Amino acid sequence: MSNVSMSFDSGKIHALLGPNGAGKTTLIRLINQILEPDSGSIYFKGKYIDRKFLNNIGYLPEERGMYTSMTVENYLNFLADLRGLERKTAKHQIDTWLDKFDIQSWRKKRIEELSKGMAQKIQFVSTVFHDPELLILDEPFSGFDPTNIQLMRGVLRELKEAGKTIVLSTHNMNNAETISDHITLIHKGKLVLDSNYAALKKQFSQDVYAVQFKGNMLAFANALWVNYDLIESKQIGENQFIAKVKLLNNSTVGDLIQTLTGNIEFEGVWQDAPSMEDIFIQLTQPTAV
Amino acid sequence: MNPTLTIAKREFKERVKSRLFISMALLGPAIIIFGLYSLFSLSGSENQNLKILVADPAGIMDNVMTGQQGQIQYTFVAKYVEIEDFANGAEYQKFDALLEINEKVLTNNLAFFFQRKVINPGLITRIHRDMEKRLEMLKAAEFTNLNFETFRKVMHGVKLEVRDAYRPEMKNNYHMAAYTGFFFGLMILLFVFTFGMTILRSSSGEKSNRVAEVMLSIVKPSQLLLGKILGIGASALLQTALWIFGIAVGLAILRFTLFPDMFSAQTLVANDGVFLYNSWQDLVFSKINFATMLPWFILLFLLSYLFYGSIFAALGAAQGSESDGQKFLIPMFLLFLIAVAAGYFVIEYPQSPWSTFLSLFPFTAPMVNMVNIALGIGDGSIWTFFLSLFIMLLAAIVLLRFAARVYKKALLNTGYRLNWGRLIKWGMKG
Repeated sequence: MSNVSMSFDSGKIHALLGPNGAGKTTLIRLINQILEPDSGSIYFKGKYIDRKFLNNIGYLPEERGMYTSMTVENYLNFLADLRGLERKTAKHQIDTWLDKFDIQSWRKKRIEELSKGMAQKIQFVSTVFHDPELLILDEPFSGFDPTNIQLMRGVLRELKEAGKTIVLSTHNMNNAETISDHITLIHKGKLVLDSNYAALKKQFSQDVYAVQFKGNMLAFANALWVNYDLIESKQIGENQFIAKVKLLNNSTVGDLIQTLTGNIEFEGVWQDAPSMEDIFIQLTQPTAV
Repeated sequence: MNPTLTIAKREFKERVKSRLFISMALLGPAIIIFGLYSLFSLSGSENQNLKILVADPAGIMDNVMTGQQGQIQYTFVAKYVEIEDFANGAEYQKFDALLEINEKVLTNNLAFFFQRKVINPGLITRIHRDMEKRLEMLKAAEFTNLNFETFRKVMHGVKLEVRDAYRPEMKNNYHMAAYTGFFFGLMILLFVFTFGMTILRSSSGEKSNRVAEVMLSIVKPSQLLLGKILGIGASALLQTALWIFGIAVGLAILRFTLFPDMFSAQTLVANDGVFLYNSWQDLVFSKINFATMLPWFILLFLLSYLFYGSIFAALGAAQGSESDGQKFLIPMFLLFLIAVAAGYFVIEYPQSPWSTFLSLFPFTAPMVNMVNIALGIGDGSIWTFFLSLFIMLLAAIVLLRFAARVYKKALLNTGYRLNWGRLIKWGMKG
């Protein structure tokens, strides 16, 4: 990584995106003090970060590893001991999180007896039970079924509302889009995007609008003149279409509606914003950087 | 609790609860006790009674050896006995061995001894001496005017008693003592190799199942390494203690049940002042000074465990693939073989400058020092011994630092082929 400078606000979920080999894991390991930077510094609440701050970080690596011969309870107690938690506090925290996921009955099970999804929950609990201020979660939804993904999203939102800073490294653009407040994209070890989600949508919006209507497609096309570009159209029913139109020459969506009025029967008009996946591909294509 | 101790505690619990640990603790001493029992019982007594057939067609022995001589009963025949006849003939089955003395013996000094089963070397030496005495008698008659009794007085035998210059009160049973030390050294190497492999497997396992990344986000690589070495070391020490306890109990049971009268005065009187036990029983029950051997055994075990354990830990962490492990195990195994060979070398050539070097060289020092301790370290070599312990400690510390650097660099790296260059680069630079 070189010349990467970024900050994570507390009480927000930050999606850390990037293609394979972009440097996400390296960045995460630098924050976690697993790797040392050749140069540069990392600060936590204005203070230079060192190993003393590790207890303020909860890290869920992408490739999960646990001591599988241990029971759930022993494993969590072992991590609590390593983090220096008092036995009473640890017990309370472990109980709280096992209750939250409704998995108290797994306490005495050996980790190797658990399914992948079950083990994933235990790993998540081990990441958050010491109440860290910064959570770094690498692909936290992988291995979960849709119901559990919903559950996890809810938990992350709760943590965010509790003021935790959450860094979410993922390849799943849908998850990034659904839950994140802020998007950071790194590519080939460099920062290529660092923006909040709403601004990002606006930045990459290309003034393309979708129009759903009843009528004649030829009449629709003929009504558009020099200020509009018909990008694509799709028939969705009998005499029913969706067409995408790009606004040109500073024309507005109001101008578009005015132009089409009388030629078609409007059913809906909305801005066709690019998805996170579109933006990702656009920024990481070979010509983009 | 200190994170290193927490990790050590986890490693210790995991090892001692494993089936391998429990079965080793039970089977190890049992196998050794069974082996010792076999040696005690099957190697026989030095008072074994033998019937020897002497084939003496030329009548050279002139019936001098006839009859019972101690435990040996000689029967003479004045003819050649074919080996096949002796081996299979019904009339010869009562004899334990055939001593063939042909007429050329006075010129070529060669006789043959055919044994049905392996006979105690001490008894063979006695037969040899009996035969030599008779031949000396003939030579005395041929070349001197002395009668045999006078000749024996001329041929004054001297028993040369070898003692340690620093402890002259101690009788010297050199080979017996040396091989006792050798056995203790072997036990150190066996335990170190076994538990070293446990460290290697544990390190590479944490690397391959990715638990290392979770651990390194909480503790330092050096803490993880040291915790692992201490935890597995504690389990190794417990295993050693269980073996010592098990063997001690086993020996006590053997002593008081199967060999209850071994050292009793009645037995001594009944056997004309000769103990009815073989050299193995003598060695184990009366010669080995366990009070001296065991503390040094434990100290040398700990030092060599730290030394070798660091190498195993570094190799485990540095493995890029399963095949790397296999590739690097062969040199490790060779090192252990060299240590064993060094023990043998020191027994045979104790005064060689190489023996001093091998006692100082950390790879061979545990074995060589165990042999030296068993032989008794005199004032003249005491400084070599303590220098050797110091070098081992120093080498263990250096290797621990080396392994910690490898841990830091290698534990999260995958997808490469490990070679010596990469390993040394990681270990030196971190």
